[in-house]
Amino acid sequence: MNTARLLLHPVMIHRRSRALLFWYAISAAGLTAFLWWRLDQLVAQAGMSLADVAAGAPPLGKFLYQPYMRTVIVFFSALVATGLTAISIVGPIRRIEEWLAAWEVGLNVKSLKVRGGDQYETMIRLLNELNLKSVRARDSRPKRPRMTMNKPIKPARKIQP
Amino acid sequence: MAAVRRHLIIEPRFQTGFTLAFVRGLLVAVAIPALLTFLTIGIIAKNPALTDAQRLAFSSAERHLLIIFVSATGILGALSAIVGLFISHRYAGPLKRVESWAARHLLGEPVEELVLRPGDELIGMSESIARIMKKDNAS
Repeated sequence: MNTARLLLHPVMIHRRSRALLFWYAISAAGLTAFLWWRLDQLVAQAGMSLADVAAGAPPLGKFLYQPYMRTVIVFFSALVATGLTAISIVGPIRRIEEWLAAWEVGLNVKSLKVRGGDQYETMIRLLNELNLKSVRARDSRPKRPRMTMNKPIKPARKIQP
Repeated sequence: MAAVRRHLIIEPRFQTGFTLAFVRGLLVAVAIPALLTFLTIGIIAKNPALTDAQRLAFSSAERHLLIIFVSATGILGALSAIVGLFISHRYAGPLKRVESWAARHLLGEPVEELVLRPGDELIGMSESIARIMKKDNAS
């Protein structure tokens, strides 16, 4: 699978992708918040303060402990997860819709490709066959005589002997 | 169970792939922050001011959190599988209708106009196909 497709997948442009992002973000945020809350409780039971322990930790520990850092991690992991899911679920629908729009306006469209992980293989195959059938039917129709705007050609003048 | 399967699973291959992709996404969304949380706890526990007893308390807390994480991920994964199956069902019905319509059209059988119910998924796609085929037949 192409890495660029995963990281740059446009997750915000389709309502289904946005719903996926919301679901994943809620799940990740809920679980992460619960883990930190429970850790805080357990550390307090042992007679320590998590904030004090983190204050004396190595720089990377202090950095990762910051609340904004945890929020950023949750958001980006939800974004990556949505991209990964949308590639196989939402992406093909969008590609099919764009391809159909190009066909509808009369462009010569190439056959639609099935990418690795796509969930709509049969549909893509059928659409390609429909397109092929349509192109063949169009090509086999008798062509109308071409209409030209040229003036009628005058007959050649007879040459006087 | 059989009745549920009959109603909920229309296209087994498509719906399985769809649901697995949905659950895989959830596992990725949950695993990355959790792994970084455990990494942070590991680094915090390296605080030189901590006594051996406090380090022991930290590692015990870490084990406890690992159990919570595994159980919660299992529950969320199962929940996502159910939600994913329901969502895939909403796609599978229209998909099956459009596919069977296209297959009959390809075989040259007489087909009625392709119409999906209002609110169905893939309605934009099916409308485009119907318009293209109508235009093709008219010309």
